[in-house]
Amino acid sequence: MVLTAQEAHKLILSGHAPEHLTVQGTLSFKGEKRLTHLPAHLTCDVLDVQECPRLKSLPEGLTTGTLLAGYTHLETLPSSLKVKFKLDLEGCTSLICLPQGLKVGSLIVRDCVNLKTLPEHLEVYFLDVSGCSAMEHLPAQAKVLGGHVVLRGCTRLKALPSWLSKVACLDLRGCENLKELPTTLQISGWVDLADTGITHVNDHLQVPLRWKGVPVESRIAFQPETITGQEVLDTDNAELRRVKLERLGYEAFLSEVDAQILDQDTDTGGPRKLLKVQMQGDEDLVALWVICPSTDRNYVIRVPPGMQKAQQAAAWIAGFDDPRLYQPIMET
Amino acid sequence: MLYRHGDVLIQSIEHLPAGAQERPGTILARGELTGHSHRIQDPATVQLWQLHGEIYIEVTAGLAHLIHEEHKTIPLPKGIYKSWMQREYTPQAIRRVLD
Repeated sequence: MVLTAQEAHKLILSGHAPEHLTVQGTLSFKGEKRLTHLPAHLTCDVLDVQECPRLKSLPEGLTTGTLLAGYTHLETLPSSLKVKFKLDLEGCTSLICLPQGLKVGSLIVRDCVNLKTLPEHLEVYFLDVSGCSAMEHLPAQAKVLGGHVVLRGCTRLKALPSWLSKVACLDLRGCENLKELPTTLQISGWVDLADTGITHVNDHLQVPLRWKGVPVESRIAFQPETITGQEVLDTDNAELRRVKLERLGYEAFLSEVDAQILDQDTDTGGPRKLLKVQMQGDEDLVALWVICPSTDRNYVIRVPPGMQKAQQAAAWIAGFDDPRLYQPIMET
Repeated sequence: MLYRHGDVLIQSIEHLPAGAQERPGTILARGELTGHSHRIQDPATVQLWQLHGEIYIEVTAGLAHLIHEEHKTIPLPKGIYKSWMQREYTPQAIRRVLD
């Protein structure tokens, strides 16, 4: 039976949908509390069952172009499942395994915290496994066909398999137990190595490096001891300056540049300090040192040299010359 | 009402300024190095406007969500808002914070 998405939506929620239903368009049940099951052998272009709290399993024979099933209580998927383009299972915290031999364009299992491995003979173009903190190893046999691979926050992962040989971009942020990259690996775009155990990149790779999303030269990644406080101060881009500051170390930076604390208080991110560094042959450098409440990253942002109070500096940075007008109700 | 979302400031205002032009999309600011962006999650909840380099947000739904890859989401109730970027001092010029 071929139905429109609207017709199928109504029929499925009524509990009387037949098997072997074909639906054209996007069949969306997002956030639908009444959805408990789908009919077997359902075929549709896009199926969206995100945030459906009572959907515990998917039916046999489900075939879709895109399946959005994030933030559900799925534990497994049927082995007969076919998804052509994109399978998004973000935040499925009950998910413990995926079917063997799964083939899909993009696989997203971000924050599936109970997933310990991916299936054998997996075949994908794009793979996002970020936040899978229980992931201990990748399968022995699988294929990534040249797309982005995101393994960010896979803190238990100790090695990358040799089948991971050609990728566009590789995000390994926070993979603290990962000590090296496979010699067979080729990366056409960039690799992000922040907070990994990797201390060098094989010469053959010649790949641009990133540190928490910021393009860096290899010296910043692997020889942070060569960064000076003055170099940090001389860096124009705030993100690159932040990375250099982080690699050098905040204490080392402040001690090296002989910073004087003019004022300190506390904001949403934590302690906040107004610092002054006397510069040779130049006006004083006065900067506010703040911590971002969302990322816990430290930022040092320069303000006019006459500033006296941390709150005054924060208000100025936000665009307020009169600090009394800076009263944010939410900061993230 | 004033909100800070990383280096983006959002303040509720009474009316859209006269002469504001429609701005396509939902992106308020994009990181130069990271490619990350401050944006409204659902395009159906807002209309953006611009005038003299400033961005204005008209939240047309009951709520719009301001999102970013690395900052927590801020829910914006229905209304009009002005959006601008943090600034930084340099001896040569005052400029928007580069990221």
